[in-house]
Amino acid sequence: MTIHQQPGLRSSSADPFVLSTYVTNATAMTTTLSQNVLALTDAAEALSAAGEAIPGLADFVASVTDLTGDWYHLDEFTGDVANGFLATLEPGYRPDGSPMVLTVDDRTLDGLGGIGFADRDQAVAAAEELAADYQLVLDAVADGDPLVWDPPGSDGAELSLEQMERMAGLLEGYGDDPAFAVTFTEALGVSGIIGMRDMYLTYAREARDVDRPRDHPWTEDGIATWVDEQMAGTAVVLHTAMDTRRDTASRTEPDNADLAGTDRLADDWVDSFETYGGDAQLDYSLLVVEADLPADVLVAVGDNHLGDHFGHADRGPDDDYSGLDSARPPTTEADLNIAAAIAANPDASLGWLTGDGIAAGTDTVDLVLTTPDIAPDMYTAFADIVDTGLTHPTDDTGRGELMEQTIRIVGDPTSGGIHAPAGASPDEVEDAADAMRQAFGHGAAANMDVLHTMITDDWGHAVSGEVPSEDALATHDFLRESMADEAVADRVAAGYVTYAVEQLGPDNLPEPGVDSSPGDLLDDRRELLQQIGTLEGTIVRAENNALVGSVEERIAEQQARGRSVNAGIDIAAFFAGTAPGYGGLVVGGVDTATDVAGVSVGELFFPVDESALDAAEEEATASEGRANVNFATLNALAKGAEAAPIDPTDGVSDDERLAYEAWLIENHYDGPAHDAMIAGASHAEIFENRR
Amino acid sequence: MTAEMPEQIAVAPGAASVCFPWTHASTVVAALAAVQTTLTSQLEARPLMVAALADWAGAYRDDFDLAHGRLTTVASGLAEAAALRAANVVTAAEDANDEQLVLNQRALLEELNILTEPASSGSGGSW
Repeated sequence: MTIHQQPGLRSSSADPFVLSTYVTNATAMTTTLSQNVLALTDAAEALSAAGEAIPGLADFVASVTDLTGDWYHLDEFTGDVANGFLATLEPGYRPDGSPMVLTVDDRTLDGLGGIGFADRDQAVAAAEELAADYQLVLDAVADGDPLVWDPPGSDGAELSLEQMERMAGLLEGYGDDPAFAVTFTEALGVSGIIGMRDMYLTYAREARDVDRPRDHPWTEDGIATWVDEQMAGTAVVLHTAMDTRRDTASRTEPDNADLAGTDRLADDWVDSFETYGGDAQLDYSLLVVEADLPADVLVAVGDNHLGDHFGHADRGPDDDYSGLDSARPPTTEADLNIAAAIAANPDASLGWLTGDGIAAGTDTVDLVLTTPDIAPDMYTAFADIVDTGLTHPTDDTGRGELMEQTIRIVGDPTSGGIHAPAGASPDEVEDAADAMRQAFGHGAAANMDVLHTMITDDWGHAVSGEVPSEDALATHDFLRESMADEAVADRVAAGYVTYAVEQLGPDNLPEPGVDSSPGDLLDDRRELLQQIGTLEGTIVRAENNALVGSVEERIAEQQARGRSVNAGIDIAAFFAGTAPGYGGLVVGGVDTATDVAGVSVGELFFPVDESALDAAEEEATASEGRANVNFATLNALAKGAEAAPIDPTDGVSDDERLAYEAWLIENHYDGPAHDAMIAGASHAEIFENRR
Repeated sequence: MTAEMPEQIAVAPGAASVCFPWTHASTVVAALAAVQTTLTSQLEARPLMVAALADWAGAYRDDFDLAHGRLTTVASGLAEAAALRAANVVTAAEDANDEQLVLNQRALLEELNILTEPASSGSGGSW
């Protein structure tokens, strides 16, 4: 085994801007050469297809293609060095044109720039050699042969801890080089790459058993940590190799976009990885997490491995359903890892949910939101994916479409709502449902424009009082489902405020009199003002319906328990659980009550909590009033006002009211705008008691 | 300088046509010329660009110089090879022309033989 040099104690110096300029110019030259070579390749192939064989032409084409790849690799290496230097500068630093030579130690430079080999041939040779060394160890694991150097019994094929760690260090050090990464990955194959974790684990346990190195503290935790450390290199190599794919949309190394086809990770390798169905599912899933894979690969991995949670076949091992009440498979750690990897990648989350890779013709978001009896921990993991997808950081049209789809599914009157998992403890069910509510709330706040459109489009209620559209009803019902949680309600409210202030700003609010649809009753300004009012009115009423509805549900649930009690369950034991200290006193009372015809035990012991309902309904009414007051504040904020001096909705004194009104006047209070928004909000009264 | 494709010799009336992909061959010669030109110009330009990197020093610079030197040598060899490969194509085209000439001449001879060959006569005595 060749001992490769790693950046150690040496340092490098350069003017990074001169170096960057060189890279730009050199890359342009290489691109020109590449274009010439491509044209030559096509022409030579056509000549050969026409039956004319020119001696040496094919070899020449191969050689000049190889040279182009070598130049490109050298340019990329130089660019990585330049980037390493540049990364040491303050963010936003701008050169003034004067020479600036920096000196940085090579280890830091390597860490910042991800520097590989200057010579592509050396990168390939190093990868082939290291892959061969690893293959020997993997073969030894498969054959049950000893791995650990433990003289005098060792025959020389085994490895010391130092050697093992050096190999892993080389992998991590060279793993940023695309030529190295592709060569290594393809040489080991999918099963080899996935088998690396087990290889390290087997080595560590054997080393512990034979006490090598002497007195090394091989605890279980220590072994786990050591394995994770060694696996860092495998993750880097796989990530870099995947970064070379033509289909990778968002790259770590932008230069990989122009690689020649032969320098990219083979498509069939990727296909095999995405569809891995071997026994090492947990190790596979950990690699999926660690390697920060491209979004489309994560989507494919999710499609191929999570389908069983929706009743579809997947690539995982056959599940053991024994002892389960649910028709759904138990959640494996591998499944959770794969879901977490998807949730950590916004593009993957959006892509997985809006794709139909699990059930052709049915988007995965539909499966997630309508499949019953998903295990609670898996449901929570899916909620994280929904959250990430709905809050995708870019203004991606896919995000808005996912939001629309989610609203229509959850707001569907026949099968909507949150399909909380069953067959689990009430706490688990509620935690899982709450996780999904949080996702919905975050999504609503991030996509308030979608809610605006879905509520107000096709609802021509301005004067004629038409009924809301199906989308408006679905949006209300979606909000009602989501805002049963206080934190979610706050989040949605904050999202609305941000959106409303932006919509009411001078750059967006049309001037009075502008009318893009002449013939209707409102100009564009008043129409938008009413729509913003209707949006808030819908949100407020949805929250109120959620609040009152949850109180009613709690009462009904308690009464239902009472009815269940009446049906013969161990009354004392049951009631003792719900009303500590009263169990013994209740039993006799229940028996007596059941002798009296027409008495509902449920209502007897869980009467309608008039005070709770009254409080909920009073809060609902008050919130609608507060919303109307808020419109004036929103308009002022949209004009650039600083925060209001007081909260005008919080029981103000006369002096405070005067201060608030003075603030409104100072910020050009617009009475007609305020009235228009209140009018819009009143249209949402149609959602009253929609529970 | 890269070789130039010869003019294609036309097929004479009655002559067989030599099968040679003239268009594809011309395209290959032009592509080889472009590659050679690019390699040659870049072999001139790159040293000047590298000379501007005087302030870059260290192990990575050493690696760069080694790789750059190797690739420059390869590029130089390929620039020459491009001309040789183009010459091979031109030679193949010239061979095709030569073959066509032969076929053209054969066709002409055949036509002349038809014109000069005496008409066949019946039996008769000599005089």
